[in-house]
Amino acid sequence: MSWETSGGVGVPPIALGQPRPGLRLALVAIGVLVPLLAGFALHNHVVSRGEAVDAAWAQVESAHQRRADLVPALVETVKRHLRQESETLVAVIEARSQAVRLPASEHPPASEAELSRLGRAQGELGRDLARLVAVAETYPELRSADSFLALQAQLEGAENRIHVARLEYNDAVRAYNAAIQQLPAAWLAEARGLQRRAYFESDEGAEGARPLGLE
Amino acid sequence: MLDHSAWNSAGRGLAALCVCAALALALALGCSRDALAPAPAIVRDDAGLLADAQRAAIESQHAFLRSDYGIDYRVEIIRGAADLDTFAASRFHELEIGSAGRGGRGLLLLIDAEADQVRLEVGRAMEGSFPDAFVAWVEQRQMVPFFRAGAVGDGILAATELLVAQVQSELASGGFAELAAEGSAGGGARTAAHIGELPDPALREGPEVPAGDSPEATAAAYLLAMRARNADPDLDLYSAATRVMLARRVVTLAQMDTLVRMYRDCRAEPVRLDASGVRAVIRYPIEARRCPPWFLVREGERWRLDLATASSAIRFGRDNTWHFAAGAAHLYAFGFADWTLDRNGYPRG
Repeated sequence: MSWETSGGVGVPPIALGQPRPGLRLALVAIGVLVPLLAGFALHNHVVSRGEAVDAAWAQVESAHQRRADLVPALVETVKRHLRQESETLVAVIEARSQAVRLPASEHPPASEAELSRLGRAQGELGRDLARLVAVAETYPELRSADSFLALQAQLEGAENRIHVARLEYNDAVRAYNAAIQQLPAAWLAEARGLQRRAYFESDEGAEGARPLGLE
Repeated sequence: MLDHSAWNSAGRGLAALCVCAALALALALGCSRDALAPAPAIVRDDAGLLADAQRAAIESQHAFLRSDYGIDYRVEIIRGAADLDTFAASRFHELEIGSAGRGGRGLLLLIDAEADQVRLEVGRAMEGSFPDAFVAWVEQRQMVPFFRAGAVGDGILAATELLVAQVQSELASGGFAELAAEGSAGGGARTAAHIGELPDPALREGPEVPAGDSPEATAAAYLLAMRARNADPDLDLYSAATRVMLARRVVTLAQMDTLVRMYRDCRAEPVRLDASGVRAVIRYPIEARRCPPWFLVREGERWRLDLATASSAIRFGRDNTWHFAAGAAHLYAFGFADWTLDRNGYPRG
């Protein structure tokens, strides 16, 4: 059939209501590709939320370690002045030992109970450190020493970093939990066996030493 | 019914229109962002603790900090944050502190006038240069003594001087310790501000330090007194005018520590005496730009430090190098007769 016989003027005689075979193929491809790409995007979104939780957890662990690393220097400084306060010193050393005994992990504890256990151990250390600093502050000579001021500042900084890291961790967990509970990501989470992550409850474990504010 | 070419042509036209609209929108958004986005405010004072002049001085100093060292340092005086530590971290994030600096370098000084607390929040990128212990030292040993005297603006400015000195020390020792990161991880320190409380009188007392029988002996005795953190304004080694000046002036532990450090590597030239033998100058080679000269006066047969004249005649630049105040006329000019001064008062050989 020539174009002229269709009455056109050099135009293919195809009506708009009848898509060409190529167009039909493209529509089918789009129909398959779009859901597939959407699935990939959803999967990547959930994965990136999960990685954000792990990254935030790494900050929490690093902050815990930072505090634990300060304890020997603090105990050593205080020991020189507070010979009669050995009970407080022993308590701090014990609490540190308990806290660092818990194995470090790339991933946060899966259950609330496990996270709570870790929080309690860290909280014990925080409270004992706060007690030690409070006792040390009653000794004017120690309180005015630059070395003690420096240690106290570093300790307070470590406590604050724990607090901030936990807030950021909870934010990351909140975003992750929301991501895996909303449809259609919830189907993906169920298929892949993804569980909701545990939160730190009310800053547990960081509250012990936070009132260390310098005077 | 539209034919195929008409359909294609319409499609191309629509596509072109969409592209143009998108470009126009992007351009408009970009322009409006540039036009509307205000430069971040350096100082915010909700408690009215700063006089206009002090506020301007802080803004000027912090603008230099931004241009010279790429540090985005903001100050906020607020009323009643429930938890200053948490507030500082969230405020740091909210204000995107560091965005106006280089490499995310940012600092936020928060003063809670109601809770009488001060916190300097240090961004992740600056934790290497400003460890918590250093920040606490700056707050307690430099800033708070001014706050006690009610001079909040002076305390902020005095603290910034130490921050600048620390950055310069980092640069001099081979590099600016910085971490390529944004935001704050909670670094810094919080301390009681003690605004308007009387200074601790014990800090203004110290053992007597006699004036020396030579200018060098008096300068050496002064450095020893500073090393011992003796802030007594009535020491024998001060001239009468200096004692009057020091009685009114805030002297901090950090200033004394910094002074001792500043002169540690300074090697003085021989003493220069004026014709009457009443005044003396101890100066350092011209290239030792961070070693300001000493002015001494003979009073009661002993050589005493004339810090009163020095404080009016000598100024320090942004990089802590000394120079003469513009147009300063003083009785110690004889000690610098062989130097020329540039128009800003900086000595030239």
